Amino acid sequence: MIRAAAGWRGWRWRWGAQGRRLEVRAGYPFAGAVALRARELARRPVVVAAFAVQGAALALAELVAAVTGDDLAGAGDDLVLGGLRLVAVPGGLAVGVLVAAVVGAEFGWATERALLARDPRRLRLAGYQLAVAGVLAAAWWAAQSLLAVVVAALLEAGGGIAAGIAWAAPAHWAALAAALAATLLYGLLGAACALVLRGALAGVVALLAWGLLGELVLAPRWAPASGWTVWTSAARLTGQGTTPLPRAVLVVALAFGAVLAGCLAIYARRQVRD
Amino acid sequence: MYRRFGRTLVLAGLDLRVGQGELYGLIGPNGAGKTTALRVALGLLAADAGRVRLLGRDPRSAAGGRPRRVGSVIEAPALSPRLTGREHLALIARWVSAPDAEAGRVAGLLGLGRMADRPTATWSTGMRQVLAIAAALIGPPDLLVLDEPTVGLDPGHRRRVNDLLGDHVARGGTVLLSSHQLDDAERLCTRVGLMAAGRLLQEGPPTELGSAAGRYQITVGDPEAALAALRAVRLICWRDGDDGRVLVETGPPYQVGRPDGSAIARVLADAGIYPSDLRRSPTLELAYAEVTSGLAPDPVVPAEVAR
Repeated sequence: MIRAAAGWRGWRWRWGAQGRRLEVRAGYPFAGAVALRARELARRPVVVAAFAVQGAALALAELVAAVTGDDLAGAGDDLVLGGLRLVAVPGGLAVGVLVAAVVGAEFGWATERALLARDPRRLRLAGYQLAVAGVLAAAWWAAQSLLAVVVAALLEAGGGIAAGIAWAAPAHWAALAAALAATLLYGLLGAACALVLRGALAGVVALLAWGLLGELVLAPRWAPASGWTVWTSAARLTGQGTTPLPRAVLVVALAFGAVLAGCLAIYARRQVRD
Repeated sequence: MYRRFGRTLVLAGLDLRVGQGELYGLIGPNGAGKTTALRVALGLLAADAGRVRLLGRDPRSAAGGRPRRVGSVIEAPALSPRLTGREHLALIARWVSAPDAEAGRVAGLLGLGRMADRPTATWSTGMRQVLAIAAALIGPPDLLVLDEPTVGLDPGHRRRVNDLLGDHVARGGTVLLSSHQLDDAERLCTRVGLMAAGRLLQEGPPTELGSAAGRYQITVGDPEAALAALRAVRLICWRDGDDGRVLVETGPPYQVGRPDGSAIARVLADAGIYPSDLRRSPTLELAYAEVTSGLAPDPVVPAEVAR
């Protein structure tokens, strides 16, 4: 038996007929329920397809940058940094859309009804959905970041590209951390949209309307708002743009807190009509 | 309790009390408000007015800080299609902090067998309903709230579910169910409530509801001789059609002493008449017909609900 995650003794790896699985020890029922949902998510075609499409797009962007010598996300020859910046934005928005789709699908299956009938605590159910979203976002970040680093390192080595910076440089670690923050924030936004609007389609449309139309189309046209968007702030955390770093950190933190509080406050009064 | 959806008053002063150890059946036509009543009872919906208590607590309250011992199936089965049946049961077990072994126990109770290891997306509608019922039995719960639990089930599973409900009550559990299966309700329920237009119009043991309460039907070769024998002991009876069927009224207020089927058989046997069939009339069916034929007066709606 192998301990999987340091610091949380509830988890363990287990060998079974279907291979190695992450399972939860008895006595941790909430974590066990989240683990089961995570296993279910890994079987959904939409999740597998999203991971594959995003991974392919990321690898292709790095390949094109290596072949053409073009700048990747403002990182110059540093393909590792460029790849990690892409994981943060637009990768963050992509994972937000995915999370909205998978959390929203639960409303179509009415699983919410079965769980709330057993335990009426709305905040527990919202916490469960947000935990599932967090697991999905963390898996997305880990997989896409690993892919970005591995593909970039291979291309740099194979193409004789001298990035001038070691792959374990502090800038890369900072970009990795920024990508995690952006991924979790966008994942939370996606889950919040689905929970508040009670559906996959409504959640996805709301997130895209805000993330694409609001932040990328409308906000740049109005100067006071342009430096205060989640997109520009997440990008700034990875080293892109001219937004002051403290403001970027503030925007990300405020957005996280406001979305979490707003989502929980609205869901706490949820009535299950469907 | 009162509950309105837009301009439609779905629950119009429903007054319902189910005691521990009862198997209570909520019967009524489509649109009577049965499912809404169960949703309000479970706290999925809030009542616009009125007082609702489930196991002594506000059903929407988070007081206690732990899952309650209530199993339910409301409308269509709520299942994640990519989970196997066993995983779905394990998910519910973990959600209510029950041991994972509960999943195996309830799968065995309903005979899910190897089916339990297949994703629920591949299950038939009936089997999905069986799985939802199995999930409701995890805990095990003190109270089962079931909305038409045997819809779509094959006769074998229907009988098994009915037996399980009977066992649950025999062990001190409580069941509140809504159903259109009047024969099941008449056989299983200790009390039934007949609902229409969001209110309870009649309530009581299923054999004592409606104008046919306590009525027996007998099939004999010589109905005139049977009528004479029964009338000789002052039983109210009459012929029903030309196929030898005789109806005997035994319920109040028509009879004093309430003779049962064995007493009727004894009277006939003393006269040398042996019926080929003697059974209690399906009273619930007639009571249901009476209730759904528009006997319900308009409800009185409190000001906070009226719009």
